[in-house]
Amino acid sequence: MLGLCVLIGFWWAGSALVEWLAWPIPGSVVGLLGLWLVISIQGRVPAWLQQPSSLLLRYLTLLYVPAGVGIITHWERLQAYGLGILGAVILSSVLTALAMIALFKLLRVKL
Amino acid sequence: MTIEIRTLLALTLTLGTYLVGDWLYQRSGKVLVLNPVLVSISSLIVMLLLLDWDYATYQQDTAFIHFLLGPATVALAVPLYQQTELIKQMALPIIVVCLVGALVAAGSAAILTTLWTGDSLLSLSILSKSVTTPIALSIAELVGGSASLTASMVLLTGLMGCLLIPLTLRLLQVKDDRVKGLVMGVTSHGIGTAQAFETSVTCGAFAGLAMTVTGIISAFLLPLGSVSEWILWLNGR
Repeated sequence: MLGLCVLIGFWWAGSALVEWLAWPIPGSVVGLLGLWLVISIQGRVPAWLQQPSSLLLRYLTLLYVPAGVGIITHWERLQAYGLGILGAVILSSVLTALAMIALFKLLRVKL
Repeated sequence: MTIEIRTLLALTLTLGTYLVGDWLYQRSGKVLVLNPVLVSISSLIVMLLLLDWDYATYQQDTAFIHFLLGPATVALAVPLYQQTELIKQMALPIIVVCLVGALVAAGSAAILTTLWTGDSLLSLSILSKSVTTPIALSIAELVGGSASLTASMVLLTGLMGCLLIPLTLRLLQVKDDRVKGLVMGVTSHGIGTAQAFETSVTCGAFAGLAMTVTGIISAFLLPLGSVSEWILWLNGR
């Protein structure tokens, strides 16, 4: 529970910061970076933080089911443009993979 | 039905369909169409239609589950920290490759969707399709897309990526598990990362790292006002 409270606390701090600076960035991502910074300085992840984090991330896909169900409110859009959407998703994914691999070859990135 | 009982039913059905989906997925030896999210969303849609339940009510009832996306995003800091060693060794190449990947993924999706559908809400929602869902939904909110459309696009992208990216990598004769992992993570986020772990632990670790780095980069770049203006301008032509 302490871990969950800390996670929500960082979310809140991140959201407050972006609102104060009027930055168009999700507060949760700033919270992520803040927590990362703190545990990097600390040099370890305490068990009370590890536990709720692992649980949340293990069931991460469950968390977006409620948003996903909302696709029923866009039924007409899907019927009209289904094929275009599918095509765009497929081509864009392949293009991204090609661009990344070309970049690896071009820069001869040594990993 | 009283409000309380309806809320509890909505939460139970959401968790229940997901767990059944997860069970089916594991039992079937991880067949892609039995992805637990896909099973859960489609059975819930059928139930809502049968029970004549409108989405706004269901959304309100399951707000608790949706709320957890916030702390889950922050929790991504933990696996990111655990990969500090990887980051120290090769921060620059990883950031450059993820940056280019994130830009190509978002840009090409927006342009192709505009070309093939001309629907500006779709173009704005598909922008964050390669970003891990909790971050993608926040981005959708900031750029003026629809969270529901984005959630579906992210899922579709993950599933298509798992089908097509390994094939693309094989055709291009990519053999390095680290490169494979980075490409899977950037293009297909969490779903791709889960599949990358099936290849090898190294592949999975790189995919997870690429997913988080892409999410953070996208969160900083995509909500910039000029991006949504550009998409609306493209659609207006």
